[in-house]
Amino acid sequence: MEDENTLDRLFSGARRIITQCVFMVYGVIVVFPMIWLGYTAFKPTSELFASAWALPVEWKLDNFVEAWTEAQIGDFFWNSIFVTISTLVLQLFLGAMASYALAKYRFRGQNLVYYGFLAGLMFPIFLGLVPLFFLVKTLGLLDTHLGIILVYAAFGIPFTVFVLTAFFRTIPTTIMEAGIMDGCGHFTLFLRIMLPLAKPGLTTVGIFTFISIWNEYILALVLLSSSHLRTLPLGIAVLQFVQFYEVDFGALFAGLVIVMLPTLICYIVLQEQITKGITVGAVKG
Amino acid sequence: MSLQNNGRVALLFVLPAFLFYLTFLIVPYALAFGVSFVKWRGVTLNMEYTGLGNFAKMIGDPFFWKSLYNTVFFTVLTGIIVPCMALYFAVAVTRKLVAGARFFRITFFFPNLISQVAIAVLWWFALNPEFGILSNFLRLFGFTDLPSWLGEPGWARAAIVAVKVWAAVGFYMVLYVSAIEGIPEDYYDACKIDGAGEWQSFRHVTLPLLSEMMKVTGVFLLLNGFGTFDVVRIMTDGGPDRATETLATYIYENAFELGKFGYATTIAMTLFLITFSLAMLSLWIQRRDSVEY
Repeated sequence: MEDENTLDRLFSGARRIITQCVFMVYGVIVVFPMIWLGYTAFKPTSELFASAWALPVEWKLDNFVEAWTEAQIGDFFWNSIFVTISTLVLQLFLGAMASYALAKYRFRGQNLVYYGFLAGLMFPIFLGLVPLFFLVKTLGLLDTHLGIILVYAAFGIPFTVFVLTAFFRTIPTTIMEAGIMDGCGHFTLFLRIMLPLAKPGLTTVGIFTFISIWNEYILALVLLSSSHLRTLPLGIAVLQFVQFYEVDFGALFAGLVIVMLPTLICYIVLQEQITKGITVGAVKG
Repeated sequence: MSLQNNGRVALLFVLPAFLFYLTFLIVPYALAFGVSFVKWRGVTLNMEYTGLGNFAKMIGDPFFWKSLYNTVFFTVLTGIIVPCMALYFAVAVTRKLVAGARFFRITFFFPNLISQVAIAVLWWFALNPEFGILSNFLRLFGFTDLPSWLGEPGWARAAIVAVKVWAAVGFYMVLYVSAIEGIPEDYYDACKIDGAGEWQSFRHVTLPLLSEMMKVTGVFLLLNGFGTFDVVRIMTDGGPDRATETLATYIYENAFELGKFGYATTIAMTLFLITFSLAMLSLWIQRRDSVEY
């Protein structure tokens, strides 16, 4: 014990310096590639090959314009917005309804349903991928936005139910009774009183759903094939494949900036909430 | 309490979500069990029952073994490196061993907000032998004979591991930070009174009390490692010479590029069984009474 302590004191000064250095180096490794990407997106490809480090000679928006129009990033962007928002609305609404009933009502098979939902958190996506593809195909929803929205919403339901059921349980039942006294029906009660009260829970789930759907790749890859329907990650992946042969990287750099910015901004604005949300998900999951 | 006993109303609330869930999750997963026993090229719904034929074929398929080996390689390496780095960062940040802790907490998390596709393309650029930042950085120190990082089997595998680590560390750091912040300050005060240094309080207080979080993150790392797909598909597409092929990319290739849907599902089933049993095993090994403060 004594030895360990002496060592500890002896090294504590050095350790502080080393730790600080490690943090700064890793900080550079995390942030610099993104900064490099950010300013390289303003350079033509020829300049990139001439000097990889240098800032652009002229800050031109050419790459962004090319990406947005010719490389279809603009289309992909709006597709991503549409798919993400539709998924969010559908998943949160259906998930909240189910969670509310699971938290506030008692019915036969309740636990079975609840744990049935939670089991969905355990299954790896690859196991169901092939049957899912044919299911969506059979339903005539392959290569449609509707198809992928329905699948995304269904895949998001376990997480939604998991967080929101816990949340609805914390809302006092007396509020429900007061609502019924005032003559609300069950659905009005849910829509007008309970749903607004669940807003913090909905926000948490909403942020996570937004980030994961915005970034999702494998399901989009399997379920969408037409180029005008692609979401951003899928579009970028295809663009990388194409531009590799054309050796024209400008639009790809610009596209990367466009796909990365929304979630980064969302994080910087809602940083506290996101950090808290991760912990809730992990600790209870 | 008749209000809450209204089962019919409750059922109406639960039903829409449950039907969705049943259709798009439960049904495909249930079908997967069946499909792994058939030979099925997917053009029609005609399937030929092969019993364990697909499994036999898999056992004799060298590419399957190579993918399995690579998947295990990536999972083991990330499973060791990620928690070590994340834990080190988390301790330094929470125990105030580093200046600017708040700034680092925020920035280290950045990669977790970005699509895996974007991360993979970003690093595909950054590792470009001509204009990539790594090669250019090394040239500053006079290294000239630099390899094509993603073109050589050894380097490509190392690159995949590095990128996976880069993408994951922030998330695990946040988890460990929250767990450490949940440990009552008294414990550390008691350590100080006893004359324990930072290392000793880490070993005797932080580490034992993190066991619950370790269990959770262990399962996460396992699922993440065995599911490795996006980064590999974009950066190397399994190459060179299948040196970075994972089970997930091999499943995708078989199903959606070669049309061997039955065989792909057999491999997917194997992947699931391996992951599931390893997850259960790790929970069992790490079983311990949970700590209540």
